[in-house]
Amino acid sequence: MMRATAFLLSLLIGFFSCPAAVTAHDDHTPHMMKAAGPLPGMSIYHLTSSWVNQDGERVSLETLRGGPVVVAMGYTSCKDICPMIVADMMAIEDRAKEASLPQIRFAFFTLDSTVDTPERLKAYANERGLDQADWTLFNGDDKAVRELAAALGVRYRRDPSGGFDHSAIISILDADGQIVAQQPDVRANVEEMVKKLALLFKAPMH
Amino acid sequence: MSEETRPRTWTVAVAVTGVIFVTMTATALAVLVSSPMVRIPAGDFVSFFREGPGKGKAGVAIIPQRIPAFRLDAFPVTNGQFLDFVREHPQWRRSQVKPLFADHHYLANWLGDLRLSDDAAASQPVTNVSWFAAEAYCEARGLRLPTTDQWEYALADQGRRQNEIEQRSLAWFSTPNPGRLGAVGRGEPNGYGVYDLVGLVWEWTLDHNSFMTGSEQRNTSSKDDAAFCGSGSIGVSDAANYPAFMRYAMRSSLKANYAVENVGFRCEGDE
Repeated sequence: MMRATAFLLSLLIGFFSCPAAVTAHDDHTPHMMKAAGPLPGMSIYHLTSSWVNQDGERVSLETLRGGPVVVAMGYTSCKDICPMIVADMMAIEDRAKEASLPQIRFAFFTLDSTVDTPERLKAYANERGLDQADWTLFNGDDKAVRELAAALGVRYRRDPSGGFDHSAIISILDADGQIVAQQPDVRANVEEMVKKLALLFKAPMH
Repeated sequence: MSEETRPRTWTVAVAVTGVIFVTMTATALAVLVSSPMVRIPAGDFVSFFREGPGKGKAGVAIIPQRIPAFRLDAFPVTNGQFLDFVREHPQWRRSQVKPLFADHHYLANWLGDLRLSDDAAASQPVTNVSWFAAEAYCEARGLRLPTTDQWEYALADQGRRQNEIEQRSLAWFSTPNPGRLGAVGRGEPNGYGVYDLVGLVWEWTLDHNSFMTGSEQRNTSSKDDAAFCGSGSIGVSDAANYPAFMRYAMRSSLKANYAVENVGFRCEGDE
C-alpha cells in the first residue's frame, strides 16, 4: 500500500497547490474590448481545436475571448439532468440582466458530435428560447470534445444506450479564458454565480 | 593469391565488417528511437466497470464488448524518445509548456529542457508527463493514447497468467517507489508481446477520467449525486479484483495537466 498511499497523497497535494487563477480586471466592460496580449498560462483558449457553432460557422474557442463566459458541456437528447444545466445557465443569465451586469456570454458544448449537429443545436436553441445574442452552442470532433472536457474537468463516457454519463459542471471563465468559478452541483447556486460574474466586471450587485 | 589481390581482399573484409557494424548500430538505434508495436487481435472483453443498458435496469445480463484489433507500443515511451519529441516540438519543452497542459512537475526529473538526468535515463520510461503531453506525443507519431478498455484488454491477455499479473500488481503496490525506475523491456512480455504493463509505471489512457467512482457514481444517496448526469448503470464485474480497483481509482484521480512521478504512457494505433 505504501506506493499507493504516497501516490494518492501526492495527488492530494497537487490538487491543493493548483488553485484556479483569479484575475482582477480594471476594465469595466472587458467584453467590449478587443482582446489583446498573450493568454495567461491557464487559459482554456490555448486549446486550438476547431468548432462549429449553431449557425454553421467554424470558430475557435478564442472567439469567446474578451468577456466573461458561462460554460457547460452536455448533449441535447439528454432526458435526465442535462436540461437542468441549461435551465440553471438561463437563470444566471436572467439574474445577471436584472442586476444590470454588462453582457455575459453563454457557451454550451455538446458531447455528442454525431447527433448534435449544428442544425440540431440551432433547433435546440430555438426550442429552449435561448437568447442567441448571448448564447453559442458548439459542435466539435472527438478530440476537441476530449481536450475541452479535460481542461474543464468534465468526466464523460458514452453508455450502451447511446447517451452519456457525464459530470454536470457549470464553469465561469474570465475575459482571458481562465476558470474563476465552477459549480459541480446541478442545484447551482445562481446568486453565487452571478456574484462571481459581477466581480469580473468589478460592479457591485444591485 | 597474388600480392596485388591481398590488399583488395582486406579492403573488402573491412567494408563488409563496416557494413555489418553500421547495420547493427542502426538496428539498435531503430529499437531505441522508433517504438516497436505489437498487434493485439480483436476479441471479447468484459470491462471491470461493466455497464448496464439503463437506469433502474441493473441486473441485466452483461454482454462482453467486442474490441477491434489494434496496435500497441510494446514498451512504455522512454525519456530518450520523449526528448526527441520535445526537440521537434518546442512548445512541449519544460520551460515553454503552458500550465493548462502540464503542471509544474512536468519533466521534473530532467536537468533541463533538453537534458536528461544521465545516459541511463534514455532507456527508462518517461514520467512526470501530463495527459495533454502524452496525447501530443502520440499524435506526433500518428497515433493516440489507448483507451482504458484497450489497455485493460491488453493486460487481460486472453486470460493468460492472470493470477501472476495480480500477484505482481499487489507486490508492486506494496513496494516503495524506487529511487530510479528500471529500463523498459527488462521483464518478460505477455502473450501478445507487450512489456511492462505492470510493475514499472502507471500509464495514461485516452479516457482516463471517464469512469465515475465512489461519490461520483450516480444513484448513490450522497449530495454529490447531482454532480453527475448518468443514463447508464455501472457496477463492477469482479469486486475481489483489488488491483483493478486500484488502476481505475488511480486513473480517475488524475487531472489532465498533472505530471506525476509514477505515471508514464504508451501509444496505440489502428491495426
